[in-house]
Amino acid sequence: MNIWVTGIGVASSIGLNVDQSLASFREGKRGLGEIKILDTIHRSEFKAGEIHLSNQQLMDLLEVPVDQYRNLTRTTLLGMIAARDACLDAGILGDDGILGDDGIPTALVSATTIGGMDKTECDYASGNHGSGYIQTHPCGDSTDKIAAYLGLHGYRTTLSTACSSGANAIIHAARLIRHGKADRVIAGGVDALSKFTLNGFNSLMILDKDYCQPFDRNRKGLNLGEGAGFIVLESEQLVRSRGSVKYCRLSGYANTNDAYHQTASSPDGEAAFGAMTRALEMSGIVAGEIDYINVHGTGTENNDASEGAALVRVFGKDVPPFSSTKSFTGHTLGAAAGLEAVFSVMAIRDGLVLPSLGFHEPIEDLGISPSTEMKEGLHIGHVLSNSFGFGGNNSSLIFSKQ
Amino acid sequence: MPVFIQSAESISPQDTFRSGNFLQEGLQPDKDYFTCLHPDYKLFINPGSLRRMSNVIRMGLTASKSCMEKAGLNQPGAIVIGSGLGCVRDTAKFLNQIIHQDEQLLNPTAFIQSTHNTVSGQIALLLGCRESNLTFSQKTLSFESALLDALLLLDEKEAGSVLVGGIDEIVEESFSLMVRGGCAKARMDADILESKTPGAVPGEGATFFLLSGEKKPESLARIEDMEIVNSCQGLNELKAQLSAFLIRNGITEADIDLLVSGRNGDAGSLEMYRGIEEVFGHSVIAAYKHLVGEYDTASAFGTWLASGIIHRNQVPDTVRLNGMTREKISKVLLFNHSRNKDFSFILLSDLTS
Repeated sequence: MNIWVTGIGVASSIGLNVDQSLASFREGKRGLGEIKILDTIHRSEFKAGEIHLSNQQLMDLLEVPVDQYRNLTRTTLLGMIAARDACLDAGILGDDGILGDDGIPTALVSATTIGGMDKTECDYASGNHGSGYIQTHPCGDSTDKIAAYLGLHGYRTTLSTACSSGANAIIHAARLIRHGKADRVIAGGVDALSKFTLNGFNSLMILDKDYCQPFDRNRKGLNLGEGAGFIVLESEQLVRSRGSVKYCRLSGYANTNDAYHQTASSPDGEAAFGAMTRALEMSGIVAGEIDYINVHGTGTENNDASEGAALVRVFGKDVPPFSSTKSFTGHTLGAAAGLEAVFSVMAIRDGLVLPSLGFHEPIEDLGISPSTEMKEGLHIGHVLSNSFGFGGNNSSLIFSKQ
Repeated sequence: MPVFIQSAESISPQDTFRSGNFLQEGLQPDKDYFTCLHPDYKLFINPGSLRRMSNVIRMGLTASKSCMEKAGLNQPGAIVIGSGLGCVRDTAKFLNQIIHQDEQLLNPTAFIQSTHNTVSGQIALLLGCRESNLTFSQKTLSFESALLDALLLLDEKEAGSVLVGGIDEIVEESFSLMVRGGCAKARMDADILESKTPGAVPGEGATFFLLSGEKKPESLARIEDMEIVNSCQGLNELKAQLSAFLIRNGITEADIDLLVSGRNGDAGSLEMYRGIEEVFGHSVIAAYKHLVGEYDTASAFGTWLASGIIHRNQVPDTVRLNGMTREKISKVLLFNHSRNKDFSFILLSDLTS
């Protein structure tokens, strides 16, 4: 059964919507820089893909009612922006033509790694235990609030599998549609920048103090980011009856586990290899038919070596054009696969190979180089998007034009 | 496709782990919340790794390993876990380090182990399982989401068997924050199930099931269907949803031999539980949260209880809410909700159905 992508929405440090993001890719303008909003002692030490709007500014942008202010974490607010845009793009509109329930039950499958931690870490530290952070802390809270904001009453759930969370949300969403449990699902992920994750990745010593350099032999680590990305998935039947505008199909997906180490990927990228080959198999295409790969490409020593080894295993030395858009947005953790699903759909829609920044020299032994220039006007028929995470969690998605 | 529970295991505040004692006595906690009876983890996890592990990791690994052993399998075809709050101890530990050490010289261990999918990842490591590995975190519907995903995986034969579980831990600090946040009672009532005060009595647990499509003589029960209702306008709408669910399964209220109710001691939630219990006034009604407490994945324990009752055809006195009896417990309905939203129904049956 075909599952179609009919809407996209994205918010990150390179743009609060699809058009702004596209402009940043065209201009080669990364969203990484000084931390201005998050209250951390590491502000001037690390670069991050922070959205330079305060929570209040985000609330104004979203026009949320004043009585909701205290219930909304930054995670929730970022998710609202991207999910709203995905709905508008897919034409999920009420009778009045503005955003709202169009009478077709719509599920929401979101993903986040830290949920409401951005509020928890402030209020817990200051002893403000009455602020409501106990209610907003769980991962599922942002999903509930986004659903309420969009007027969705259907099934909703949240995946939390570290940095592959967003891809797994899209996979669960696809299963719901395949089994007729839902006709339409908004799926993706969201995470806000937090002291918890910034300090966590710093304690693991995998943050680059400069701009990250995915797939470069001298790469030193990742830059964190924040944002949200959602896609609207619809069943073939709904697309036909509703006459939806189709961007592409979600033609293949797979989730595998490395069973190697809690945080590190295996050197030969066994699970990454498994995820890509199984997704290709489901897609019914051969490796050579992939036109663009949006790699996980965090810029850490371990990830890029492991993912690179897996890419060579799947594609040989002739790896199709690939790039890490994390060199623009930073690593947005639970949101990353959501953002990158949107970017993958854009690549098909507009015929693009998106650029990778910070690359100078290929990793020894691998000899593969990411695409460093924006390429336009191409025929992009199939895009592979990789997302890997702690706990050995590896997911691959394939989007196909036809 | 029919799905069968091949094995079940639970580490809970009661004597459930590898125990032949099927809730014959209800152990009461010495605190105002329930904590698990911990088995000797050294028998399941190597002592070097064990030292660094929080309770939720120990419980999750041990219960899942035992569940696999009971099923006589080395590896499942997929691992799907639900956890409302994930690794609470390590999250609090790393957060406190950030605060007390002013974001400097932090030890990464707690951060690494704070990730929600730590337990599912560790199970994959322990079993050497390279198949699909998901963790759902949707508050009180976390286990239900995992179970739904497991049923879909089996249905499309993406996996031949699925290890599905619900895990959540409680620590002293999270209990006091729950009390401050108005989600839990500061003091436990003598009769939890009839409590007239707001807030549940918190608890914890790790419960796992090995599911597959094969009916075996030793299978415990069959999972017929489930329904998640995130929101509804009051009891009447919920009853309509329940009716539709029963009709979809070709049965009526009278066919339900046992209702397992998620009553949790929160006075504000009682009316909705009573409302559904009244629909099944002629069935046996059981409850379990007075034995294990309320937590996001407590319904996994409810499912463990239901499968045990079906398998043994025996309802322990400690869980009975009414005086009804049935000669054969063939069909069991589980009902749960969280403060009048996030409702779930799970329908189990015996192997003859």
